[in-house]
Amino acid sequence: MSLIVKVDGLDSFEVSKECVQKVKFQTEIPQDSNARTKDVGCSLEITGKILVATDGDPFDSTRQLALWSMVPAEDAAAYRQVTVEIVEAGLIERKYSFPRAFVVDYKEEYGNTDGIGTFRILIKQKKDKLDLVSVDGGYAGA
Amino acid sequence: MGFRLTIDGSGPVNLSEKCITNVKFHSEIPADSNARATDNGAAIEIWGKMLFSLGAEEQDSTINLAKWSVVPSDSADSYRKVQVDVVAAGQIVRSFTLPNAFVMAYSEEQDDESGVGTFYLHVKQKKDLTSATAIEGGFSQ
Repeated sequence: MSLIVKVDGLDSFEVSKECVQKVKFQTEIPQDSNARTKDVGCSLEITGKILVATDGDPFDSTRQLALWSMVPAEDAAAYRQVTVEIVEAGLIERKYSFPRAFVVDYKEEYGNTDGIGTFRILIKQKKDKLDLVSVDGGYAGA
Repeated sequence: MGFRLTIDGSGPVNLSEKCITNVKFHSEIPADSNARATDNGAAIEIWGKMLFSLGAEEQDSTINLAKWSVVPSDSADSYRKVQVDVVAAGQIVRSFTLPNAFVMAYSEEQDDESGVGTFYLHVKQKKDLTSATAIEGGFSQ
């Protein structure tokens, strides 16, 4: 199973599939609701490795995530299009598409025993644009 | 002991004992009540695996769970009928039916090591229709 994360917008980049370890898609609904509520949110949590470019590979895709998390709210680049594809045995099993996504949380961790770092990013669809979130899957792809 | 999940509506879901790992039924009665309260509900939580069939031979119906979880509240599709059967030794031990259920929580996880994903679904019967919840059992399948 490989996980492909693409971020499009003012600066488009792809987090390489060697880095991404885990993806979690979840809904955020108040747990005290008695009926289906309007107050529904949707988020994606992506965790993975920060791999060092030892052979002078200039493009560290996880650095782009860190830069996105620092974009101020008044900047147009704060909202971007995020697409996550879960590919297994030649089939796209899931394709999550968040067209108005922003960063809620971003963390990087390093230690002196590992040769790599780890990252965790939590992104969320702008709450009033929930109907633009799409979940597809089960078709042949790259 | 196995579990079968059936959800009808515009995106039907049929999951068998191959996928579902845990089921929890909960009567949501306020824990601080001093007498029998009218404020009771009914909810079901389901945990399971997302088994993607090779070559897409079988349709993966967990995708309809994910689609249901993002249906807005003004759509008629936001309430669906959920039925969970608990099967053991050729008998239906329990058959829970929530005829007007909505999604309280949904999450799915995938990683790059295991070949399957996992999902978690929490549904609840619309509270004013709690009396329509059916719990049956003790019959052969």
